Amino acid sequence: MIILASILLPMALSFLAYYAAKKSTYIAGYISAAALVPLLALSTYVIFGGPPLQEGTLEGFDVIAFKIVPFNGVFIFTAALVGILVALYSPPYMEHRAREVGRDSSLFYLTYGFFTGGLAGSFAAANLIVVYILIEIALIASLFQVLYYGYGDRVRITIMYLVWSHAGALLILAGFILLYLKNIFYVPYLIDSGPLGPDPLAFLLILLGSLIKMAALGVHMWLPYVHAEAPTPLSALLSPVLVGVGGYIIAAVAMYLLPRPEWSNWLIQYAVATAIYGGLMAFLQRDIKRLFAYSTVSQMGYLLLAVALFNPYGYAAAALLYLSHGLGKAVLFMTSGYFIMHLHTRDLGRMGGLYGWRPELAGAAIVGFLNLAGVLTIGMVSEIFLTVAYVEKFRDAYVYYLQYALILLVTAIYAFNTTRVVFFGPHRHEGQGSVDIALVSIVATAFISVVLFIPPFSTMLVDNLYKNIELARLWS
Amino acid sequence: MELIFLTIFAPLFASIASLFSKSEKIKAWSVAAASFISAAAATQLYFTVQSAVFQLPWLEPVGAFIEFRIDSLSKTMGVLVTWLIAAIALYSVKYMEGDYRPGWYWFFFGFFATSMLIVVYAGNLWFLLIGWEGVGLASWALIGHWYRDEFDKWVGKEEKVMGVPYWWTPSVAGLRAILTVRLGDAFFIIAIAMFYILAGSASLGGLAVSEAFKTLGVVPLIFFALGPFTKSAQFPFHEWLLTAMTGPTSVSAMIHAATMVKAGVYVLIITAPLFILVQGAELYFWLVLALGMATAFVATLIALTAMEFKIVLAGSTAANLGIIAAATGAAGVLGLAEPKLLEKLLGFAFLHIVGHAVSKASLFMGFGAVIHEAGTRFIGEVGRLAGRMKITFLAMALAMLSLVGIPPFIGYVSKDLALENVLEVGHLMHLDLLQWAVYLLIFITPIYGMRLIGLTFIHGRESKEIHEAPVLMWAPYTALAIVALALGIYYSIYIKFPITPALFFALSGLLVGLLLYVVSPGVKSNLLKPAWEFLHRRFYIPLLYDGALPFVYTKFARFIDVVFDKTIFDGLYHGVLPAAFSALSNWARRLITGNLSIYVLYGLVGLFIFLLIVALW
Repeated sequence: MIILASILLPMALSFLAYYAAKKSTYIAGYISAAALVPLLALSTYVIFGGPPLQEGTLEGFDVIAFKIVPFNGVFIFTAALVGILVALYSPPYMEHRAREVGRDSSLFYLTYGFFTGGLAGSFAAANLIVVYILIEIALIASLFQVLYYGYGDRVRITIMYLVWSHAGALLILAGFILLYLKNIFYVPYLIDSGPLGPDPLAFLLILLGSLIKMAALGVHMWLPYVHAEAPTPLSALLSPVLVGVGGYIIAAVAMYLLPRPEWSNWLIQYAVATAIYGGLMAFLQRDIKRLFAYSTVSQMGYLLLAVALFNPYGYAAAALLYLSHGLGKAVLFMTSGYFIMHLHTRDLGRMGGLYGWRPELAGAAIVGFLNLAGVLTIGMVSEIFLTVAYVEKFRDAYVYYLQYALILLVTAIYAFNTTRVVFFGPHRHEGQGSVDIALVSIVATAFISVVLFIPPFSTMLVDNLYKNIELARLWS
Repeated sequence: MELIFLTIFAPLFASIASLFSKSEKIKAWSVAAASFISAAAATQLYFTVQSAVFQLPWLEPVGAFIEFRIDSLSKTMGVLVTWLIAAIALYSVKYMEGDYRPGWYWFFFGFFATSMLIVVYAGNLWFLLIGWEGVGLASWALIGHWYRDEFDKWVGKEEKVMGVPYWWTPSVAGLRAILTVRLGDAFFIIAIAMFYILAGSASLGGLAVSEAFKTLGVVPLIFFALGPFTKSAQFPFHEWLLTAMTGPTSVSAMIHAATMVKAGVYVLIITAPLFILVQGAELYFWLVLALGMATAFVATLIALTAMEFKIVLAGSTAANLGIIAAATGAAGVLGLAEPKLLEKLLGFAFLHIVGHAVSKASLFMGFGAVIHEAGTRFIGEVGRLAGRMKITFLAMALAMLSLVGIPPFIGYVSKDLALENVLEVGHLMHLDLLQWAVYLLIFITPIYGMRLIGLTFIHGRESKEIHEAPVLMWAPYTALAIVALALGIYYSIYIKFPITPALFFALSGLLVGLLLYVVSPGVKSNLLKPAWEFLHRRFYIPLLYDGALPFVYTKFARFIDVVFDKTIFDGLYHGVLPAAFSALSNWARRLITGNLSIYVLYGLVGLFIFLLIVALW
């Protein structure tokens, strides 16, 4: 029961955090962070070489069936790690935001544990209906956070988030129910089921629901609003971690139902279009949070591409992209929150020269961007695997490499241009940004993304992950 | 193994350690000391290890290993790179004294050195990619080192040409550099993945023995070459190198002599014996040759007309990179016909890396001292420095003679031998035009060299404020200038002193350069003014990079934004659909009238529709 207990712990401790937040936001933040340590420990153990962990019988309709293997372990690891770092980052920000909205931060910390526990749990759960329920828990929790601590027209944004996220969730649920009717109760990847046979309707329902969750091209429009207007610690979790759930579900469930192999080709082109589209839109934004939100759309294109390539390298790339984007985007959203706290702006036009204002922040943000651009961080490992997966798919069909190169270039353009606009140029702000736990968390997140790139960490991670994926009975 | 680790990683460890010190001096001296340790280790490696390959696991599923390849080429390159970096580090200690961003500078200095050394010693292409990305990132960081974009750090003056700004701030120059190399890197990564998927290995040794690799085809080779082409600033990707002059001069010396751009041509050389095995590789080598020659010409003409000290030197770097690339391509073309010759011919191309690096490092540091003392980066704003900076003048004259290929300097020997490769191709293929192009190139080169020396040290506006550079600055560049001479003499006596028709053209060019810019400067021609303007504006190629491409990219993005994002998606989901729901809701609300007979009517209509559906089913 250790996995279940680890999932429930953040939810249980969120009540404690709720009361603690009434006295000290910092204690609430520490409690929220500590609550995720067991999940982090379990996933770390599995992805760095330990054997898979399993609970429940995986027979009949077992609702307390949980399993951690290296593939979903990377997703859990990311959710728990980013959850901890964001919790540590959150106190100064939430104090600031609480003052602005005129209420204390207790509701934020009450919902935080449900959000992170539900999110990480959805990756560990083996039962499909439990996966859905845990996603719902995470969604509902985050809805309250947007409603109480969001920006702009919070009520409208919350309704938008509610409608879109539930449209996605309900489509996924409909697909799961169709599987249930065929006596398929568990995440196929976690039970090594092998292909389940073509099922166009279930495939399309789960795919469409997941694409909405991922904010893929055409169904992405909710994300720039919600992620930009959410309280920034939540954005730092929503943007990289929650939306990636869609990618995980496509990989671990939908692809097992793929009606015909050529459908994956269409999905590849759609993913490429999403990646380029998101990158182009990110380049145009003047609101830094909207910029990062569109960047998430682009990165979800990468993740979808990795899955749609439908080979072991691609699946490894998907998990690694989730990790690298999770860390990189968390750094960037936390950085935007730092600006909101100390400079009271999200407008790129009012930034510039901020390297001099707080060099450590600039360094961390650059590392965040490097994760997205696939340069010398765990992002580079993702990029290598994605490229190999792409080549494995297209071989000597050279024309397809032009669009792939374009994806990488579009990402580099908005990443390095934003760095220039925000951190370089003449100084516009006097003084220095303060050194607080928010800054320490940002720098620590960036640092971890570099450490994970270096052997033996990257070696152990990739070896276990790839071996696990290779054994999945999906490729024969 | 320990020795190679020390060689490669000593600068990086020092640069990381430097982040934890607040003292500028400790940062500077720790990285400089590590650079010397690295150089000493590379030298010991050179003398104690014949050849070896060390391998450690990294990402085995994609054939990525931490693999070090020690052979004659990597050992020599390692010694060259480490000692140049050590000399530049020593120079930087003084040059960067009092700078407002010492932490950034010294961190990326060590990071740059280690990245380049990874490229030099890597035996696995994925491992090489780490160094490759590292030098790109470090270049970006150091080109934009003076991030506040002060006027005196710009390249160009505040003027527009056809509406496009013709000046480049450090941050913009850094962006230009990184985006250009990222374009090449994208294809470079794809190519490595193609090698791995086809041959099951990404190691140079593994690929060499793979039969499957021979069937690769020429397109992946061209994809691969886009990496070195962009990194080595080959035409039409040379623009970033010219505006990279916004960085500190010590950085320019690093980029031009020891690291970034040399990484590109070095990779072209070390992969040539591998690529020659691939069916259809002839096209690849011809492409490298043609692009190299085009780069050499374009960049030489830019150097001839540039009005900033560092742009002249940057143009000359691109020109020499073009020569090295052309020599490599020519070696490949000739090697396909006579495989036994390949190693020797590639050796000539490699030798010019050495010849150029020694001269160029000296020149950048020397002209950095001139800019430092004179407070201007423009030719003509300061002059007659020979009397005031005697040592610098002497060092610059020696280094320049080497750079432009005058005997007995190493620059003459290396350039002559490298261009011999190209001439031989011209001869064998009966391409007279290629031969005359080489001679013309050799003739023009000394002219820009003499122009820079003449207008800086002999003629022009004298300033009494200027003094000789401090010893910590002049010692490295003077030493390197002497090395350029000593190496040339050594090579001429003990190995070969090439006497070819090229010598005639080089000396003729020198004579013309001396006449025009040293003996009797000030010759002007209105007839040549349009041509001068065209070359001075760098063939108007910046209009493409700073005007057309950003314009098209931004307009396209805006079009997508307005038409798709705002109108179709946002408009539909958050405008039309909610409005339709509202309208439907309002309509439905009107159905509730409270009139029982109307409700009965609804019931009957509903029943009718239900029966209709059942009947049709």
